Amino acid sequence: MNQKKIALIGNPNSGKTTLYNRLTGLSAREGNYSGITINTEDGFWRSSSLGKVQVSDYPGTYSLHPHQNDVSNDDYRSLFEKKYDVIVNVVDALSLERHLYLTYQLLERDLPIIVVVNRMDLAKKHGYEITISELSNALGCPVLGMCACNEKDFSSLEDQILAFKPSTFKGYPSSKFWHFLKERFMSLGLLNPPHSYLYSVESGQYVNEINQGQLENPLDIEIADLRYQQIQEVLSKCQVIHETASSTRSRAIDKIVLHHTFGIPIFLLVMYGLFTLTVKFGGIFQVLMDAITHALLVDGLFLGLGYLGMPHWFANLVGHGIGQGLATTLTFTPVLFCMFFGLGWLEHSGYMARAAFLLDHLMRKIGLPGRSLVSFIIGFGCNVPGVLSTRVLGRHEERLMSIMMAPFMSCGARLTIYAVMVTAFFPGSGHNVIFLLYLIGILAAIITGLLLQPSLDLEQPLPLIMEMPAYHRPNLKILTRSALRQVIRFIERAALYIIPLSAVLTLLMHFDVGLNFVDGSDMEHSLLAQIAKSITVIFMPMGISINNWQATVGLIAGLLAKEVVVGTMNTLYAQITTPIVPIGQQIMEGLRAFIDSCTPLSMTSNLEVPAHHFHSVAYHEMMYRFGSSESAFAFLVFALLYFPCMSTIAAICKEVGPRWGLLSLFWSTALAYLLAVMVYQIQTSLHHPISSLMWLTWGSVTYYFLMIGFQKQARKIWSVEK
Amino acid sequence: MRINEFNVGDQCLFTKYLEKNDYTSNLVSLGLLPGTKCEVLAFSPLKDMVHIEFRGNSIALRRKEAACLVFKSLTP
Repeated sequence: MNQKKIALIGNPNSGKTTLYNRLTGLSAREGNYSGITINTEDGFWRSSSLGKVQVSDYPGTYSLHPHQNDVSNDDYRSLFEKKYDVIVNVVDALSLERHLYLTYQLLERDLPIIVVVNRMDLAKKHGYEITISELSNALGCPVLGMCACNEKDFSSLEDQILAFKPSTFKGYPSSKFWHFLKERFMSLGLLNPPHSYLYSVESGQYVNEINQGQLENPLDIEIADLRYQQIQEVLSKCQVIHETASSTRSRAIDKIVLHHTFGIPIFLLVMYGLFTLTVKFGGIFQVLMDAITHALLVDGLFLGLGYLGMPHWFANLVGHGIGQGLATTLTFTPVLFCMFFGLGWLEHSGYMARAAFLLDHLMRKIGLPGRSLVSFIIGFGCNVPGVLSTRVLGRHEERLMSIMMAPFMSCGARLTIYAVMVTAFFPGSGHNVIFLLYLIGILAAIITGLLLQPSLDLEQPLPLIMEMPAYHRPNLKILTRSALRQVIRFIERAALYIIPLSAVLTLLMHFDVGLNFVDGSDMEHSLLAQIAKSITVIFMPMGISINNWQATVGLIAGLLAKEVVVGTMNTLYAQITTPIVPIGQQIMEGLRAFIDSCTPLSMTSNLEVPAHHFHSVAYHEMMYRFGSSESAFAFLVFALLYFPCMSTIAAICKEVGPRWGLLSLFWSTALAYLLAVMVYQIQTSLHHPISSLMWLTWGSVTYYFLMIGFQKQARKIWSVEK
Repeated sequence: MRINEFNVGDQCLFTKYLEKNDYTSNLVSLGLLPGTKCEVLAFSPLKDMVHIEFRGNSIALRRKEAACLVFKSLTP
């Protein structure tokens, strides 16, 4: 049997990608806003009765005749040539009228379609009563009601595809419409070749040549009007709408969140809430994770290998090197899970479009459309999808600017650095410090945007038609699944780098310049310490002393991936041999601390728990080496802004070319350094006013020249590319 | 009348397009046709975006770009 090919097509945000993911088991990005799928994607559905089926997911469109400067233009042409066995047209039960417009266009072209009415469950809740059999009769093609989240519905889709024969496709009732149109326009003398006319008319090519005197409205509007008349006739037979509580709920929510005075404060509150919940709620589980991973991966590995008769240095390398690195990374999974879950909630609930609506004006001040806000919010999870998601923006200039700004969005991996540092240095006010860091990142992005604006000559934004999707209560199962997937990706990435990295670092730490084995306090003379100390000189103006060379190594490791900064630093700080507490006791203590922190009273302070209970050695070492919260804060500012990780740079190079990638790299690192130095000097100016003043003057002057240089360079690259 | 001359909660009838371009033909596909009934749901803080509903579509437009759309008031 030949392999079947099916295509998924529908309006934006109709749930095509959700269906695609469920069918193919893949994980393309989904959410409750328009335009997430950017290119046509192919995957395979292993169906029990159909065998392997090729599925193509098309980007959403309102009409089959997109316009000249529409990116998806070519994609849709292929729809007619590729000859799919079946075209699955996904329509939204909540706004059937508009979605059927595309269906009608497909029917008029005699394409082999099956209509899938998605979100039947939601429609029921919103008071839409749809009779599928009536709809199928009226359209003259198979129609299937389903909910793309529900896998039970797939077997009926299989049945429909199996029963589907191209021969059943002649003589749709809608071709009456076709004839009707033909006759009408023929009689008016408007038509030439019978089969290309709709396309030519709608693409606007012949409209001016046609004598429209006898029509009340322009031709395209007449045609659209005829289609909508037909659709309304169909709907009157198969759809009844009752007013229900949930149908008015979306409006009620919008009344509040889109309020012209309170809208923006509510947006800020939502974002603040997201980060506070992430840090606090995730923090509770972090304590437990910390205890378990440290007990098993660090001490467990170390003791176990010793028990098996492995040499001491090897057990040390594996346990305190690799194990420590891995354990620290794993500790953050609860915080990250909360973060990804929260962002997923925002994406799936429909709030993202509201945020873009509220902030469109503000975004356009920098020259960007409100929609680019979505890329930035995604960037808070991870910069790489943030950079990629700018593809929905219509103009190259807009994309460039968003891409240059996106790396300043503080990603989930950077959150791990803050989480550890604020625990040690800002007990009690940790989440405020973290929020402040996010704001600094946003500020840096805005400065970047303002500097780029004149070089890129962004004048008028592309016209905007933004759908405001109805609010959904997100499906918890899907949210959990996608958050877990992102956490696993985080662990994979971190493990990929941290295992070899911590092995090499641990080795370097245990040998000195003369290649003698060193341990304990002698490690200050190790090879790694020597190298790192000489680099640390650069960081002295931002408060990192030579003594704190471990921080430098952490920052260098962060060039690869921000996921490994904390793991690396902890590995180094924890190297001083400590008495080992029995593993069982460690886990019990972890549990106790977890239960303690679950009580509402200690909700405020649960992030500090690890500092007192667990690998206190590393924490104390870190606190001692940094010396003050001022230098810790400067370090955090630097870590926030410097060198977007390798993957982000690679993504930028891939999207807009290596010149921009390099520019972004230099700009962000220089900006990070200047800001960190200035932040530190301002904080400590009371202790040494004169040197602070000198540093600040130097910083401001350099900053001024840096900005000019950046702007010049950007203009140069832009003019070369043009 | 233009869309920004209405108040939140007003009902209106769409009457005609003053221009024809990609933007307006997208709106045609969405069913914004002469005689379509619309409701103004919200304005953004500086009134430069408007949230309207027609034929079950919930759509946000920019005030400036929507200047080529002409409406007729339904609320006296």
